[in-house]
Amino acid sequence: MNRLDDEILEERLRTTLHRVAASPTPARQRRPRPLLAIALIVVATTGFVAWNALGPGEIDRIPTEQAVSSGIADDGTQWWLIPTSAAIKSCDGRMPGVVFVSAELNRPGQEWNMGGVAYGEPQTSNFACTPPDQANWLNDPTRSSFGHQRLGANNDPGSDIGVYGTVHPSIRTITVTSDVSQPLDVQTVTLPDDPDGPRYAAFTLPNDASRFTLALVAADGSTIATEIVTVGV
Amino acid sequence: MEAETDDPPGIDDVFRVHRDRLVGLARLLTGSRECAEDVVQDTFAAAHARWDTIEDPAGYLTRAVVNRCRDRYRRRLRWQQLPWRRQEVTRLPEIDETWRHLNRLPEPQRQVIVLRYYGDLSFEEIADALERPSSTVRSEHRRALDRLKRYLA
Repeated sequence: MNRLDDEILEERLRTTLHRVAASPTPARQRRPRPLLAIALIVVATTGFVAWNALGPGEIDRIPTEQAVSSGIADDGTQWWLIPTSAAIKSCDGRMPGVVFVSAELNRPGQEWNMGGVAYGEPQTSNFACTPPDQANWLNDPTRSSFGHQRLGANNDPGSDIGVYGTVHPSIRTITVTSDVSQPLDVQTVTLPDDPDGPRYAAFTLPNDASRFTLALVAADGSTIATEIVTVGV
Repeated sequence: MEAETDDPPGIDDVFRVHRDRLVGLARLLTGSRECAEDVVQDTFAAAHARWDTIEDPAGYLTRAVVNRCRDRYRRRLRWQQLPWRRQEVTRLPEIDETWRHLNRLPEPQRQVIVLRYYGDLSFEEIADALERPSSTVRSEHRRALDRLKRYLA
């Protein structure tokens, strides 16, 4: 292209930008984040009324019997991964995904303090009450959403780190490597009411982990995607 | 006598109409669809609490998304160790070539080009969104076009 006049260049820029903006997500490394945590804040500010008997946002009891995964971190903190609809009696019990509950942060009588994830693309700004659209994600096994949080109060840097996420139904294992711990294979689980649907996982890392890698592994052992996470970012 | 129906649009209506455009805009400004989705999600979450006070939702959201993308850019400068991609996205040679060269532009020029040719904003609207003088925006636009012509020649 020897000479390019403004008009042709401008048209080329318009075409390029619109095509790139609309293009699908390539195989990638990305920084996970807590998805539902923001949704919970939105719900709280819109005046939901049906959290539980103790009042808005206060913990009556943690429904640990409904946990799909649980464990005790190296720092001794108990944690659970619970279907959101079991933990939060809002939106007619139809809240999507899971929440990660640290016992240290969630004591009866206090307000809930948890992060969560849901599989798919949000459909409304108040997406806590609206199931995300899973269609695009189900067509792309690399899609996932992860969040992480300190298990202790006030983001205590001495407390361990809880990581939770949701992945494509084909992902059966998440291999975790960090800068301070041995590789860890975490099996993914489904929710009881959606046994063929998206899968979920949670695990903990030592308090001094600053960076970790998640390899999403399918049932045949192939690695579908790799995510690199920087703690606190 | 006709009834007045000037009720401002609800946030969910605005979300449905503008989300894809805003994600596209944020993607072009951040270079990442995941970051773009985060930015737009955060923008709507922040807007939710003060929705009743927002007079021009589309304009407000555009400015908010641009600002959050600029914040991400500044943060990226401080977190150089984070992975960052500049790669083929469409596998259409002319598109990917142009996109690569767009990403070689200095960030202020790239922002102007994205807002002008994806956002279809006037120079005054771009100046407002980027909080820069309109004359500066015009000169950055001119420099960006000249630079792209050299790259693509």
